[in-house]
Amino acid sequence: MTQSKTNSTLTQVQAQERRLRQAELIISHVLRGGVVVSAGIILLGVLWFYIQMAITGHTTLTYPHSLSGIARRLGRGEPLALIALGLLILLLTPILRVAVSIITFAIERDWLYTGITLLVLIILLVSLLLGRGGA
Amino acid sequence: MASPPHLLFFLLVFGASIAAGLIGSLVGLGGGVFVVPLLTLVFGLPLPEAIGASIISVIATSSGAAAAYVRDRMTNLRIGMFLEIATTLGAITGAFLTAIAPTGLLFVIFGLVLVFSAAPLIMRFGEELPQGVHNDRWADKLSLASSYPDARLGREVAYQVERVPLGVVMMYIAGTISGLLGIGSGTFKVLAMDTAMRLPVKVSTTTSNFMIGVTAAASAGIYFERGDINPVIAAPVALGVLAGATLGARTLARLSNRSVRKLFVPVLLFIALSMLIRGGAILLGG
Repeated sequence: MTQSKTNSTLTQVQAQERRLRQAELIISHVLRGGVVVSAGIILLGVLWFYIQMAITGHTTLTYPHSLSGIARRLGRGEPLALIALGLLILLLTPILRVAVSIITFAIERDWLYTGITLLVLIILLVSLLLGRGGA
Repeated sequence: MASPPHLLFFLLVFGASIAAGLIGSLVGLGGGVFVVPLLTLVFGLPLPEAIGASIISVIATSSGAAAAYVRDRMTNLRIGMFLEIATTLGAITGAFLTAIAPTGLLFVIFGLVLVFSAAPLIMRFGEELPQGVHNDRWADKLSLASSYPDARLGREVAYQVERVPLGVVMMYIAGTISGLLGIGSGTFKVLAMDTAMRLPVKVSTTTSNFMIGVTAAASAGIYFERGDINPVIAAPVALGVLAGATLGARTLARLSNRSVRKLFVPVLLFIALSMLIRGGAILLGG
């Protein structure tokens, strides 16, 4: 990377920027792993759903809306609960990214952005709680 | 859905979603704008479940491609993180509004958004290298100014950022549209960064892509707990769009120049018109 700027504070910022980007890149690869895992779970759920229907002739069509519901229905052997689990993991991947970014900014001692990213995480977590109101 | 969905239904939705993801990545709009019209107009599914399935597919493509957005140094991570405060709050607003808005009105808004989304395919918004931009107070405080390597110019391009408060307001609206309709609303995010904050086009486009998944997650959580994300529908849509977008990114990305994208303008306008007609019919029919 060639920089024409000689200003030392600017290059320091750029070095920090580079480390930040490397950390974000690692997070991104983890996220892609999360997408692959959730897609795999969804696919397994779909196969289970149609196999169960082919063998027993019936299946449960109601589905869980919460983590506890997913756990309970998985225990009862409902394939739609497995699909819902895969969808939930997928839904959580961007939230995980934000959570990890807080740590990256904190390691860089960039407290302003540690705070900003923390605020984004809080908004996301509040959104998860808001949905329970069933509005 | 009263009776169990036939395997054929699953395969048809899956196949159509592959097409939606493929075309979405080719046109650069994401699959969401095609998924909702597809599920409602073609498959006759209820709008809330179509929106729920769509927002899941938006997250899937966004998280799947995140590495690409970060790797290319055009993305401004700070601007993205900061503006996510506005887009996530907007997305929550949108997710609540969609539950109380009349269905006909949502179809009409969707149609109008589609018309608007066709605009960047025809004309160029914003400037490649905006001139005379000076940091405002907020851009200084938040260290938003940065630089990116411009491949075409073969040099590092430094840029500043202005009208941050206006950008925040526009981002809130972009987030609301995303939460309301279950789309990534990348067009509106780019518009905020282009016209209000006057970022170089390459920076606003890549930063917008970086923000889409986090924005979508804010409304998707609400949709999930409300029960709008029906696994039977969301599964084939998520898997299909993901497959289509991956395929598109690998094979078709190089084709996505302006002339090819223009070919899709009539398609987009046709879908927009169909959504408007459906919305009008519901509103008039009561």
